Amino acid sequence: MKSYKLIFTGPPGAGKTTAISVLSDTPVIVTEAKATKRDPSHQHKQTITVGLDYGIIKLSSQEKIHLYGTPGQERFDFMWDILTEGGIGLILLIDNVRTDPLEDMRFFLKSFADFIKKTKVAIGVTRMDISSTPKIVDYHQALSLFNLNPPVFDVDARSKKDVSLLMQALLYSLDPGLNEN
Amino acid sequence: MKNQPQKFINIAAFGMDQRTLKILEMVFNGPGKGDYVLVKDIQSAQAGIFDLDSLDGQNFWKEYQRLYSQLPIIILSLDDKDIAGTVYVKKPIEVDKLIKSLKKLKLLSEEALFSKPVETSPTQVTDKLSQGPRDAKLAMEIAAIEEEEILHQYCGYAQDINPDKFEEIEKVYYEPSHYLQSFFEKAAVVSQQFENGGILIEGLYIPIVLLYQQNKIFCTCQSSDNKLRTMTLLPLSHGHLRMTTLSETELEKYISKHQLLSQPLDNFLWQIALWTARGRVPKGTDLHKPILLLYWPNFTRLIVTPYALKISALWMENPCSLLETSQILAIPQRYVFTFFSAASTLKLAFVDRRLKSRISSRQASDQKPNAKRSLFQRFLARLRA
Repeated sequence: MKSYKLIFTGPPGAGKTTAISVLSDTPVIVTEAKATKRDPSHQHKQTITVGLDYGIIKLSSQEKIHLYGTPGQERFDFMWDILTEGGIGLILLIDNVRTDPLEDMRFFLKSFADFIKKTKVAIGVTRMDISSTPKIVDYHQALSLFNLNPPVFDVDARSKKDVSLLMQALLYSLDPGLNEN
Repeated sequence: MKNQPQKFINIAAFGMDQRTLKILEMVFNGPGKGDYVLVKDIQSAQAGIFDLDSLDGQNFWKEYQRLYSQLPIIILSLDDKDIAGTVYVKKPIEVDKLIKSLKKLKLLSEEALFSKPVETSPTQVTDKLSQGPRDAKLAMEIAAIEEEEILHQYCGYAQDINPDKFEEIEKVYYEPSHYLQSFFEKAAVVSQQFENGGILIEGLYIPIVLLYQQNKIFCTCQSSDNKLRTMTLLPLSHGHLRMTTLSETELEKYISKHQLLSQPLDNFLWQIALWTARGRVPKGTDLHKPILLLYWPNFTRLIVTPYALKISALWMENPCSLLETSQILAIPQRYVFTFFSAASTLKLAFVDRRLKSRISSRQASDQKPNAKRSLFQRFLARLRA
């Protein structure tokens, strides 16, 4: 049995758990707890992930992609290095409703810099329907300081099509020679 | 032995006046390419077409259902009809929609032919048992036809050109200034100057308001509107189009009075560019110079043409020319041209006249694939399934 890892990261409430659940072939294992201290911009979110999320995409009976969602809170950052070990790529989800989404992006890019260097990252900006700024172009401008040019898409984490497109873009970034059919 | 699908199908028409019958005949012989033949006798028909709005339309329909309900049917009507087992075409008839429906009808008719009992044999039992998968196959074929037609609207049919032949090179160009596309692009540039307020475009079949700063366009149509597509294909008549600036207050009043709906400007311009370019590039585009893609288009909110993700990934990694891109990725040129035309309309892609390609096709083919390519390929196939 061959297994590979794909990592989802981002701040609390960015939609990591939801994105994994729309793609996973099995019910997602979620380690969430009731939020006691809530960010005012996340009144919609009743729970926060305190461990990690886990889902599976089965490619065949012998091959699986394990989807891991990191806990969003910084106090769990000790887990990030362990989680990314052997991973094939990173999906970074940023919540556009938070106070400073661009700073969130910078923080996660720095935190996962080594992993991104070895693989690639694709960025999904969520809840743009609620807050349309920063715009996608603002993210690209901020990314130029990191000398990175990854795909950055407006993503609804509940939409399988959106999350799948983001993943496909990640795969093409890893290897533009992949065939469509 | 199974029945073989024949090249054409006989279609009986009901409740039609002579004029409509004449139109049908013209469509069948013209865009229908002889795949459909109009017959008077229902006994010799493999499918039917009904005008439900005619005087006796409803009576004909009831009578038909009583006697011949096994035939695949197209329903023509002014009002939406959702009748099980029929294909609906809205009136007034638009030829491309009718052709699309006729193709569905042909498939359904062939399916009916296949499932018609010809003789009693063990194979027939097998046929019946496999009805479910065949229905699924039919649905997939219909979906594929629809997808293919939409694809052709965006990417055209053009075969690859030989870049050494001047007369072939000319075929890949179009002049945006001859089409509505350039008018919208100009309006977007003018609208950039206004922090508030916007541009009102009049002279089309509907008014359109453009707000560049908010990345919005207001109109009463959907971006997929067929009329709008037709207009993008016609040579532009500047005399009829007017641009007027509107202040913020005027804008609010106008939008509310005309009940205009908003959609993202980027998506609108992207779609207009695809419709207009249809697999070509703007005149003057150097096919041999490398393309700079500033950043990945926001694909989750745009029409994703074939190979667009793959082309983006290549250009972000290695700027190379349009012709090289087609060669390196082993994809038809029209898909590269289509994507470039749309991306350049949004000012995301440019021809870099200063640079020579960083890689040659030979080098590109020599480049080693990612060590996990086969895994990624299977993963991609799974995501696209």
